[in-house]
Amino acid sequence: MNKAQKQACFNIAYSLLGIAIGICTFMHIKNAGFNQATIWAYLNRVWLLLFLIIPPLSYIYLRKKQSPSEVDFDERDRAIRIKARAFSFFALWATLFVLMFFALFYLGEDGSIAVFILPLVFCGLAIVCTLTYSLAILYQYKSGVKDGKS
Amino acid sequence: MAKAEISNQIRRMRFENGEMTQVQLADKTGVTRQTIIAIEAGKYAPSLPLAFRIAKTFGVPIEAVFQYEKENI
Repeated sequence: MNKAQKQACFNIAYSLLGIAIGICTFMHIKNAGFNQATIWAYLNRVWLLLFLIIPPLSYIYLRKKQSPSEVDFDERDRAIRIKARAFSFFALWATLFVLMFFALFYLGEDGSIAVFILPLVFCGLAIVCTLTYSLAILYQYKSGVKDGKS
Repeated sequence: MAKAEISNQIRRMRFENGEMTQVQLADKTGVTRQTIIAIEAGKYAPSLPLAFRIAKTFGVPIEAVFQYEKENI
């Protein structure tokens, strides 16, 4: 596995963890009721795990090379990343379109929508983009002919 | 419709050049070992500069390493 593949695996695991934390938070709110103080106390512990513990561990996971003079990425990695970005861009718009479609059914009386929906939408889009990008990278490394640009 | 395929002799040439490993070839040509594996397996057609670098590493002309094959499907 090269650095790009390891990064993709890490991103998938990180995104799935994000989804799991989202579900746990939802369950916590459902059980404990919507109390801002308890929710912030709960999320503070989660953020500590998400942003202070896992990223440094990823550095150790990603830095190991197969050879001391091995390059971090080359033309094949670049081609794969460009295609993965295109997949991710498509997934972004497809998800946004679907979300907007479903949002039509949950509009308020005067066409309003709850203010906390927007950050949730952004988080969801970020997770969808990351997952699509990472899966596209892993898929392309496993199969298909990719032509290098001269 | 014609399908273009590029075959190569990299594996044979590595063994003819002192049993050069994929890592050594990757280091000399400035790519990762996975890229060398993909090229050898015919899963990736390298760019022209990389193809020249590989040929130069073996000290042979590019057509000795890569062959263009066109088959009708």
